[in-house]
Amino acid sequence: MTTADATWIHESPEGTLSIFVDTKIYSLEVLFRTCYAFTDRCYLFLEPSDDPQIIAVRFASKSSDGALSITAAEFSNELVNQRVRLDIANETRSIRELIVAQAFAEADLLDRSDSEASCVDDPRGINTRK
Amino acid sequence: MTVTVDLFQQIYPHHCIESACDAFSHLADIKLFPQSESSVSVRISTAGSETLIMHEFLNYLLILSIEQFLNDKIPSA
Repeated sequence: MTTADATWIHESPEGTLSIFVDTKIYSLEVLFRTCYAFTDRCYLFLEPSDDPQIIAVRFASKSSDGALSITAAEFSNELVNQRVRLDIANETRSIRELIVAQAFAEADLLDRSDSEASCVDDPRGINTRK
Repeated sequence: MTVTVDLFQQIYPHHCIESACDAFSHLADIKLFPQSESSVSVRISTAGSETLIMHEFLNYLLILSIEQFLNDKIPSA
């Protein structure tokens, strides 16, 4: 793969690559989590661009195997991955917190009066519905 | 040999920059020059490969800054 295949990856004359990340799409948290996963594969440097909500990510190779463009492309995919992970984490936060709270609570936090009641008691009044 | 890089404190908090400078003080002579409220210039002088030292310094600083950012996001008990 070359940078010509991935038009959003910019090549500098010094041999480094850069991409510009819009923090409206990929928040700073998403960007940081992605960077954290890549610091073992390449050198990274972040700086704001002229537009303060756009962060420039500079890549420099750790080795001379010429795979920096692949790393930059994989970094771009990982941004999407981390964004989806964060969205799902936010969507499922309340249920996860409830599960953890229930696991550590001495008392039962869930209202089981309906689900564990006897059919004879009929707490939801199913038998009375027409 | 000397290299200089501007760091923005929105990304790299000042105390993380200072911690990274301390961690690399045995490898290079590192000096900070405040540029504005939001940025600081770092000058790295070393007898060895200044580019390698700078790259390692920036990666180390990025990891410190990310860990700080994620720690701040964890709500305190």
